[in-house]
Amino acid sequence: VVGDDGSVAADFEQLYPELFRRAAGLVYRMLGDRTVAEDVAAETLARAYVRWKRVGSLPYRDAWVLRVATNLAIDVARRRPPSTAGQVYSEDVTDVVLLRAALVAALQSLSRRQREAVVLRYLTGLPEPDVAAALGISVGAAHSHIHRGLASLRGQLGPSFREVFG
Amino acid sequence: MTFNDEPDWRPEDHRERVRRRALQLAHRRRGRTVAAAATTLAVGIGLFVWARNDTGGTRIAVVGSPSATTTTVQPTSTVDPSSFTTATSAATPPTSAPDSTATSAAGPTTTTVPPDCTSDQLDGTTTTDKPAYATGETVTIAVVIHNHSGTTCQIRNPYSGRFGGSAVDVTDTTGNVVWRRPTNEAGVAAVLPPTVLAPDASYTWSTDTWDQHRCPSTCSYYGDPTAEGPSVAAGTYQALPNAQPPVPATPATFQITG
Repeated sequence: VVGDDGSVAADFEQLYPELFRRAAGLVYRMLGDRTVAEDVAAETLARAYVRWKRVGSLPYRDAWVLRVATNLAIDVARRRPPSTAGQVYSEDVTDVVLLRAALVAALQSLSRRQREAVVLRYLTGLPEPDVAAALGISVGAAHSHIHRGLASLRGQLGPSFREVFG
Repeated sequence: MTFNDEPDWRPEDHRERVRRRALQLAHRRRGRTVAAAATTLAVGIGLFVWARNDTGGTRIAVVGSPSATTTTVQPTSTVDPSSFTTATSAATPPTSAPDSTATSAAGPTTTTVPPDCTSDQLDGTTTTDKPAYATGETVTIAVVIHNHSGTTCQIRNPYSGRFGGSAVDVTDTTGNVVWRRPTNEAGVAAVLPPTVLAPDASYTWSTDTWDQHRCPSTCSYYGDPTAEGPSVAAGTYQALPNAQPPVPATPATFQITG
């Protein structure tokens, strides 16, 4: 897909804006930092671009991109200090920031499969069959990962759980 | 502000950096693929050589040194010349490194690796199988490298990355390179041992075939070997070796007729 002259696959060009928005939006909902969200989305799209010959033809192409964005976002969250440190927010913003910090901490405690399944299902709104296809597992297994992941998050987030997951 | 609030994203502001990063990742992937193939092959060759010489001794081969290297090991085994690749020769047949001297006696073995050849030790001759070709006909180009110095040295095989060059360039009458085989086409060659050239020895360094198609865009060492540009126009072309170190060589001039 990527030639030495930097030539771009036409369908990637076409899909790029929408995929970027979805990846950046997902990461922003997780981390609450616009710059980081754009950085992660750019890295995600670059990785998709390199593998576009394979990824571009996948039926769960968008889910593949969002899954990569999820894992990159978690990697970023692991490496950086909490975003609330030393910052002053208004009350309503503080609630959201704290909620995101709690959500990311809770997501990190899940297994990789549970985390990917929960994020794809609830933070990106994919239906369960698409989540299963993106993870290469059966719908039943995806349902199980989502169920267990949510149960764990519910315990960790307490009353805030409903604000994120409805 | 709610949990689901989002900024107004501007994907176009990031398109160029995505493209640059993708190119960087693509080059890394290619490098990893070649390195994995090279490692696998090197291990295979190592096991093969070990199995052939497993008579209780150990032989250490040191290749890739810019200067002469001596390694002493014991006990010893006799060097089996057939375990090394060989090439055609003029006065003294070249062998692949290491240029070993060994004995089957109980004493230690001395293994000597000659230094890499320098440009002023070498000259080359480029030949094509025909002086003129019809459009679309395959052009076969051979490069013979000769050591005219009085010192034994070693030369890397073509396609062996920064040490070997890409074997041959085809240029038009203005000197523009119209074809260069990407180095990564022959990743296996990258792990072949260098060839030792004794004084006055010659070695057929490469034999390439060209289907008269241009490089896809620019002629790159790292291009996709399956990518091709359009066919070249009829006219006069020259073939020259593209080696590291550069080898002064007589070019082969040939015609492509319409």
